[in-house]
Amino acid sequence: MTVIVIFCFFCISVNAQADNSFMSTYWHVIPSELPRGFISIGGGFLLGSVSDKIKIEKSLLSIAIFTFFEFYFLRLFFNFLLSPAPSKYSFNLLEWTIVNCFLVYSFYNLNGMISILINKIDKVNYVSRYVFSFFMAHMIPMHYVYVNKSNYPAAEICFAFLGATIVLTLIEYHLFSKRLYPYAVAWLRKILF
Amino acid sequence: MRNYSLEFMRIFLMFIIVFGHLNEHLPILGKSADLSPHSYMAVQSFFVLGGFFAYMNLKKYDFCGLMMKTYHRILPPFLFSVILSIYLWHTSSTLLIKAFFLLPGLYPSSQILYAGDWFLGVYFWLICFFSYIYI
Repeated sequence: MTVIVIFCFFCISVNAQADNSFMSTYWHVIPSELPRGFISIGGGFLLGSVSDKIKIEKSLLSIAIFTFFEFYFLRLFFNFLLSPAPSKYSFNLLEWTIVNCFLVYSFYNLNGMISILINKIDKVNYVSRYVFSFFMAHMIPMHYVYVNKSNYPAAEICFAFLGATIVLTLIEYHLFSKRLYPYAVAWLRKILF
Repeated sequence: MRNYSLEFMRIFLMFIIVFGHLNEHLPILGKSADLSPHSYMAVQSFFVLGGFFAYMNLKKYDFCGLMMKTYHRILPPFLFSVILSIYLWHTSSTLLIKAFFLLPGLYPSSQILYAGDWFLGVYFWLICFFSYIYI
């Protein structure tokens, strides 16, 4: 209970406007990324233990409730996306974490209409295996742009950036993670043990 | 049966993060459609997802098993990115030690690549912390 109270108090204390100033407000209050992760990963853990204990039967009512949360997530997300900054909508970390938890629960148990519909797209598997490598690979050209404070025309850099990221993703996934790294680990194990 | 909707969610969030980073440094879309705030929100969602799966994985693995699994999942691509950055952009090779222990994000100015690598350190060590408390 204490953990939950601290969790809620902490979430409420960092709420700010939805434009770019959200993170500047956050960093003004807490100059570290660690508490942000703490709130969300803690929320995820809490959700995991709750979803273990509470199983919601699929009914018309539960589907309606979870569909509402799925649309609520989209509403929160796309309000930011479509509204010009500074936005009139306020961003609350607690609200966002709770909606996220409901969304993950809904997606995990396929409770809402959107998750049921998305679950039918089985080809998503071909893309999802590259997702983590894509995230890692984008850091390399991003690092270059960040360090050099590039002043090139944005469109050209954008294409170069995306091209480089895709090539690096393929190299990372197929060559490094799937071949070189396991081979290197096996070789080290053979030498050391 | 595999859950494709969660896979879809991962893809969606990851693209938002990457395009948010891109737009942060190269404002291709202009300020009217700035993606940077959304990439912060996507990171929050990613953390929730990560915490949830870590809890689920604790049913299959013990503490050390889960940590090793997470470490082996994160390290190869991160190491690849750091090695390539050192080679291409001539950054300091001492950063490899920082990368090896997944330290980015744990203390101020600990980032290596300045493009979301703080996420990895924070994610790994917080999963470690919560799993330890749970067990």
